[in-house]
Amino acid sequence: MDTVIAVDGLHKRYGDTVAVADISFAVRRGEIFGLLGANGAGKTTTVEAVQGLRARDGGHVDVLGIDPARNARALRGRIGSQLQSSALPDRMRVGEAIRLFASGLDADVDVDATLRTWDLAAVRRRAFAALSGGQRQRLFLALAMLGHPEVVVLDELTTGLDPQARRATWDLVRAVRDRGATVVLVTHFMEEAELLCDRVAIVDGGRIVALDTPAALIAERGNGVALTFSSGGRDVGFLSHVPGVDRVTTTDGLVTVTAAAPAAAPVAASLAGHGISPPDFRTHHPTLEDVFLTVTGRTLQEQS
Amino acid sequence: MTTLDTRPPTSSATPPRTGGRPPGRTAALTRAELKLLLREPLTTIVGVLFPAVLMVLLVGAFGNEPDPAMGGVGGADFYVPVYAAATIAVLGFMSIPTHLASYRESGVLRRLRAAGVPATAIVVAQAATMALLVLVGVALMLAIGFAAYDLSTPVSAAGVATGFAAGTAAFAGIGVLLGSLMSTARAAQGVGLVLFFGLFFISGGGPPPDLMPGVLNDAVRFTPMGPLVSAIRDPWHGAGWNIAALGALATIAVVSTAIAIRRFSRR
Repeated sequence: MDTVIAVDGLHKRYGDTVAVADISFAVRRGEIFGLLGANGAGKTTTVEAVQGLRARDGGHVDVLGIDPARNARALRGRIGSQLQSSALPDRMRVGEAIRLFASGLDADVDVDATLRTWDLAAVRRRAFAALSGGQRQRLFLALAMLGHPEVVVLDELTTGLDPQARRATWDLVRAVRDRGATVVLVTHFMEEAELLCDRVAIVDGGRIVALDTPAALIAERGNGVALTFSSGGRDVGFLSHVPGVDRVTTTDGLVTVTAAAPAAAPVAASLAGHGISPPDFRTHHPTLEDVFLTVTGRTLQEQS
Repeated sequence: MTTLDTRPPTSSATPPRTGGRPPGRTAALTRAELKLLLREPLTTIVGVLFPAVLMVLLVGAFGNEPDPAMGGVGGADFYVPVYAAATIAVLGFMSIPTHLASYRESGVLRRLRAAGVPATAIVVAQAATMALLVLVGVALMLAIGFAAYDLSTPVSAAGVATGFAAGTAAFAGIGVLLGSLMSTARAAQGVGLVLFFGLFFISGGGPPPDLMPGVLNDAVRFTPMGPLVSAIRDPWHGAGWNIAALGALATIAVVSTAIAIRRFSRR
């Protein structure tokens, strides 16, 4: 497997504050690699070091065979980025921004084609300040993709977008990957990481506490499924004998069965066998949120 | 729905790029800044019209009869060069730092840096924009001076032009240096106002020097305003090129620009 980014033992402090304690990971060509964590976990510092925008205090970073701390200039055009809390001058127009950022790239850039690709042709002459959140993100993606970089870093791409614009942006990120770029996605949205990323690193306190595909993370650390239903006053103690069931608890008439994932169907069958057909039988599959809680001991909201 | 053509990966086909200086980046940023300037009338008004209006008020009060308090020259001959210099000072002390600080605040600088725009391009674009504004502002003031106040022509036009060029370079340097230090536009504006009004009115923009305490006249020579005004006024009034002032301005230009570039490219 072709590795495009290798980070080994990255360390960065600002004064007495340790932003990145010890982070190591490798990104493979063509994948969408996620860094998931709360604000201040060290995600942005990590990707800034990867892009050569931030000097590191320790460790090794290799991007496309280049050390960004030594030769950031050699990475120009090969790595595209969308930065957290960055902007363009208020009165700069969309078409001008594309021309400005295309200048100095070795590759020829077709401004009209770029506008069409990112659905920006209609707002070509609109000033940056007058763009909607979704239009801004499309423009930032367009700028990041100028010259067809091999690696694209997207930091908090969908923060501040409404859910609909967020979903539309996810499609665009997949399109970026489909065009051949390797994507490093920094996010604090669980759903975004789960749906979009091929592999996710959960960052907490300047360290990576878990790293795998979302499915594998959930399977390993998600603690099975939870089944809930109203018992209607019936005793459902028999469920604790169903293979795979860990625990059966009843609170205010609502029964919660925690079980390994394959036990869901046998539990339902056992209920039916006892003549119980609750109208509100629900299966709660674990999500990345549960994994996050397991590995960091907190929910993301508690940390932010 | 967004339509995207999904071309096959081109990454592996892309030849590795060398670290050479990309052509046209500085020119493109300068062009963009000039366009933005035309859409931002406030900067132009403050930098260009404000000194002209002040000049009209003062010269209107003093006329252009020779006055011993102004070293024997008339009010217009005394104040027009000084207020032409004020255009440079306003842009260097206030406009450029505020512009760059607002870029820092809003994240424009981050965006430019991430795209590999070199610090020199940012600095050169600001200096070029300033030079254009100085040309417009000075032309406006000279036109008013000649048309309305019987302004006398400079004794050494080349000396005056050199003074303006050195002054513009020095204050562009001060502007980008302040812009590299100020974290918010509001702070930049405050510092700029204090510097401009604090220094300009004791360096000849206010009362004639002979009417001010000698210690103030001595003190101003050690600020950038002193050499700026001297480098323009001396050749204008026939005192020849002020080499010391030109040397001071050149030094300020080189040192402040170098520090600013270092700060803008720091990681």
